[in-house]
Amino acid sequence: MEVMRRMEKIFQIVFEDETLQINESVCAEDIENWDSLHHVTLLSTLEKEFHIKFDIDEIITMENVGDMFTIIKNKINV
Amino acid sequence: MNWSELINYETMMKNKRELKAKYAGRRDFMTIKIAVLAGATVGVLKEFLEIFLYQYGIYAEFLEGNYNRVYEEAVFDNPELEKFEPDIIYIHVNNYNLGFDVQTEIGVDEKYDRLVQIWDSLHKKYGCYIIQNNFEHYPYRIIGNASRYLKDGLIYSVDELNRRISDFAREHSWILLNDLNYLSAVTGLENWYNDNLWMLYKYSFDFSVQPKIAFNIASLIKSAYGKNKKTIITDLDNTLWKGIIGEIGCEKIEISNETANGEQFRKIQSYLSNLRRYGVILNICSKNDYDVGISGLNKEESILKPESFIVKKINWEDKYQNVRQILSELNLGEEAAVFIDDNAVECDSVQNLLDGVSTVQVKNAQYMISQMEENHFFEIIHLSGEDQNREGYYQQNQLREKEQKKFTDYKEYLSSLNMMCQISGIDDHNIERIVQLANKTNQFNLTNWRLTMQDAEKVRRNKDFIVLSGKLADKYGDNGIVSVVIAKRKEDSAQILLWIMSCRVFKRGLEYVMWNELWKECNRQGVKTIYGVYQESKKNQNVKDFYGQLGFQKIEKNNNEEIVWRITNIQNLKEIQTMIQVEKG
Repeated sequence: MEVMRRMEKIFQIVFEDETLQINESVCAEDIENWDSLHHVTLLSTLEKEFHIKFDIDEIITMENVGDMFTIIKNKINV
Repeated sequence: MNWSELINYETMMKNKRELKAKYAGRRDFMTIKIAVLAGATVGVLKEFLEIFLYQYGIYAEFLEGNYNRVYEEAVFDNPELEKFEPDIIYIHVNNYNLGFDVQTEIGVDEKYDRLVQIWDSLHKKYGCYIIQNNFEHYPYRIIGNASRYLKDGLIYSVDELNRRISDFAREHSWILLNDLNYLSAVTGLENWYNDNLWMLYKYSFDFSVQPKIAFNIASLIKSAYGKNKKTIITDLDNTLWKGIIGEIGCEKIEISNETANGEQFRKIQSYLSNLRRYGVILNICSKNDYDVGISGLNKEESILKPESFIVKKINWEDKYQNVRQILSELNLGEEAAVFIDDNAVECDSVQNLLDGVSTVQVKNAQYMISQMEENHFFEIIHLSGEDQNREGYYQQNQLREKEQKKFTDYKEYLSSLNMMCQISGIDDHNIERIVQLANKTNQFNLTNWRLTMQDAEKVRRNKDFIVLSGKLADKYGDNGIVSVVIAKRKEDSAQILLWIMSCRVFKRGLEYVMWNELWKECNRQGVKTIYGVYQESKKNQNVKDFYGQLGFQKIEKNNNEEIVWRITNIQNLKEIQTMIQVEKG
């Protein structure tokens, strides 16, 4: 759960809300400010946090926090 | 926290919310309107720029153009932009906007001509500052090293385009060049671009470099608004040389290329010495016996000599008091100063007691220059004769002070100066200086109108404005334009919209010369009543009752701290006598 906890911290920073909680099913509709600008900021900040880079295909297909979690987990386990 | 720490993306993300809350609703901040013409997504850059501008007391109001319509929005009618009346237009383009067809001479010609068309059109319509990015290199070269020298090489083409942009910027003071090429070199191209972000979202840079770019743009803006630092107050031991001179003696301090440490400190000295050439005033604040401290600077290997510094406080007093004393002798505010010292305690005490002073703690000499650079203290956008002569002005002032001590009667001293004032209006030669003065004068500033280039152009073109600019010279030298008055005539009355005088010429009687010239000019134009506005600020308390001294009556106080004064029947006024001879230019 270490990864999920770190992701949550990044969500809190990007959406400027310290009380924000996430789980695998959370998607853009669930968070008020999750527009395209915040989406890019979120991806970029996650990349910095985990020292990874998303591929275009991954970015296009990810639909919720669970997708992000899986991609990040696979990348840092390699 | 030091502002330069925010160039780290993660630090910026973690702190931005708090900073926005901290700087919300400041009444002493000025607001400037920035229009962005966007060749790419602006997004976070705007937010980061807003934050970096807080440190200069500036709020930014933005108008963002449509994606990839830079040319159209600049060249064709643009009612939205006209209505916005921008103070600054930022053209947000970079290497991605060059596309893949730049690598011919024709390619460069086309791109450059298009830029010139954009600039000319914007300048004609809006008359404001334009921030133009130059271009980074491509992350690939195609043909390797020859790409640098063959005329259809990628590197050659970008260099050539950048060279032309630089030439244009040098010749047109309203263009502010945002040097992306340099920033990308410092960062490294591998960390600069992020193709995914461009392909998917049309972001030009990796997010990690956005704060760096924002700070660079913020520093151009503060410089255009006269908010550069003006002076450095530096320690000696372990700041200008290695070692504590009072303990190891003058012989043993390291200051020459013979030792690694010595070479490092020579580099610092050379850096500071170069700043002098651009009008930055150097001073010393060091805990030492005076003669001991000076003996270090007198060493042959020392690049900086005792005469390289204007005020030298080498004594055992508290440093913050010395700093305060230095600023008072230079007649500069705290915001004008950078304090450099190797000692954390000294830096902290200066920082805590003198809020506006920026401090640089030299923990390790090898990082000192990058610490200075990261803070963008001295962003010299255009080098005026004014800047280059600044050290001379202060030296002259010191001579004047010495001279003054010979007199018991202040009037006699003034008379001995042989002062001469030349009065002119506003024209091509002085318009920039007038804007500069209006933006950096805080003490003798009655209305606090922070005139922009655009405002100045309007004033120049409209015959209803009465503009007087005063140059003051004396036997020690020429101070250049040091006072400006702008009034607007309406039928038989006139209202003073701007009245400023540089602190360099306080207590010389110049304000009365300006007043004499103003009412006489008003008289000539048939004006009978003059209204004077006093807009209170933190720093202009000393001129609160200035209009009263001239014979104005206080008539009203508006709710926004504006006090209006009035003087009638100006045709009956008599000239106030001064020790200044006046010449009309």
